[in-house]
Amino acid sequence: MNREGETIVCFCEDIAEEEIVKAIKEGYITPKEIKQHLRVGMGECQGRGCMPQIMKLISQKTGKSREEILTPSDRPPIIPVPVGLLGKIVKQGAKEE
Amino acid sequence: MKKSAGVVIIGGGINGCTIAYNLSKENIDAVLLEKGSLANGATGRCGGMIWSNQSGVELSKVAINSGERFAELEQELDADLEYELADALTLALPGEEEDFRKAIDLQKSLGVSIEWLEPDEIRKIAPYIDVDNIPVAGGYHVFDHPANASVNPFYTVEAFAINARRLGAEIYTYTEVIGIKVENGKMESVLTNRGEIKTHIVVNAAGGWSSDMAQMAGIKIPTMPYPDRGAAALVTEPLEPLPYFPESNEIWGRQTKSGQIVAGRGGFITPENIPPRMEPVYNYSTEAGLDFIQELSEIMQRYIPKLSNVNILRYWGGFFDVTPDALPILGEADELKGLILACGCSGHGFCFSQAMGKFITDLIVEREKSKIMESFNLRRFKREYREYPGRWFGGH
Repeated sequence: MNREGETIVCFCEDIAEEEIVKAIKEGYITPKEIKQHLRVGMGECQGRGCMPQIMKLISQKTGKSREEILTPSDRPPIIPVPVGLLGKIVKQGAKEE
Repeated sequence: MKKSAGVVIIGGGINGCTIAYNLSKENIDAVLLEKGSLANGATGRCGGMIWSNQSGVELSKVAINSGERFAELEQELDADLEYELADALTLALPGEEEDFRKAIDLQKSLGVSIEWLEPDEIRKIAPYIDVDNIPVAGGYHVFDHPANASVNPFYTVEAFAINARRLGAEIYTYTEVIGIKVENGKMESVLTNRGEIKTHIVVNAAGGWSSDMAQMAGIKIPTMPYPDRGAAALVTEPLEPLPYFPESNEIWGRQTKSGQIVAGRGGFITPENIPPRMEPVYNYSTEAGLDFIQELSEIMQRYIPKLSNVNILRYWGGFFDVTPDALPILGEADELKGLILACGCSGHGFCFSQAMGKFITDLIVEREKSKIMESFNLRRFKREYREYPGRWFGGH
């Protein structure tokens, strides 16, 4: 789906810088709003790769400083964790009791 | 910011945005106030699911009305909402068979395509489900019916907001309501951190914050933000399509169009199943604990062993906007004309939103209204106020 000449910012959801800039111009001016609108930061990396870049774009386009921009909340787990690994902890805990 | 409006709606979730759009369609000048971003509360944390199998005939009818409206939205709002009819399997655990059969009969009488499946039939259509280990007494299969479907909640709210604005509504995000001015028993204005808006009609669609909002107008309503176990959810990485993601009283979930599984703990609050003790979340914390994710992971593995290798990308908590009878509070408050309540959905707000949006609009434009929805008025609590302890009434 890669389009020539575009700069991909979010590799998980395949979102280009141009799309993010367009969204900012349309009024989606917090990382959370852009996330809900374009799904950036909702893929495997959970925004670890793209969110700094998105914040930089918001800062450039809106004139707000990085400190003024509300960061989206981090949601656990910080890295992807298999269902089996988390499920097992419960079983082990139950045995120990 | 506008200085006056025909109607001020508080809350930018599915209900607030639906109402803003419906009112704009009627040429009523509506302003919506949201203290965060749109879909900031329960809407943005829900599974985006619409299902007809509710407690009893009345709620099932509400859900069906709502679902039929959801089915029209992509075309009317000219947007991709990821609307999908459910082809869903709900498992009966041992001892639940009779209740399931009753529910199936009721749903059939309302025109829903639903059928009972024996464990062997479940094995046949979904061999990856560990029927023996769960264990399963049977289940029902629901298919091809508009009130059993799903949409992407973010896209839906956004499409409503875009269309409402196109029709003239103003939607102010990051705008917090700090007061509601009532003079001589008459609604006068709404105060926000960005200024005052004069209005004689306020719609309270603030979900978990609804009792706080009503209290600003001097009206006590028994809703509270309750961290029901069904309000937390997880999402996995995309995986190959599963013909069915099994739901039960232990788990709810679905596979999205992108292949990701969104799921949470099942068996949440219903009018027949109200926990004896309910404690509100005072700090509006939306964190889900490690115990939540461990329990849910274990259920997912027990139901579908091959899910053990699938990665969980994120999980989150939330709360329901719960009332003492787990039914919504809808319509105008008797004690204050102009205060219209659209809250207290007790975990069904997304599902009921289209029926609620229509009712509130009919009320404001003075059209004939749904009788079922009228029965959800605040006055049903009047005589029983004393029975509910203070924790119901916000103000914390």
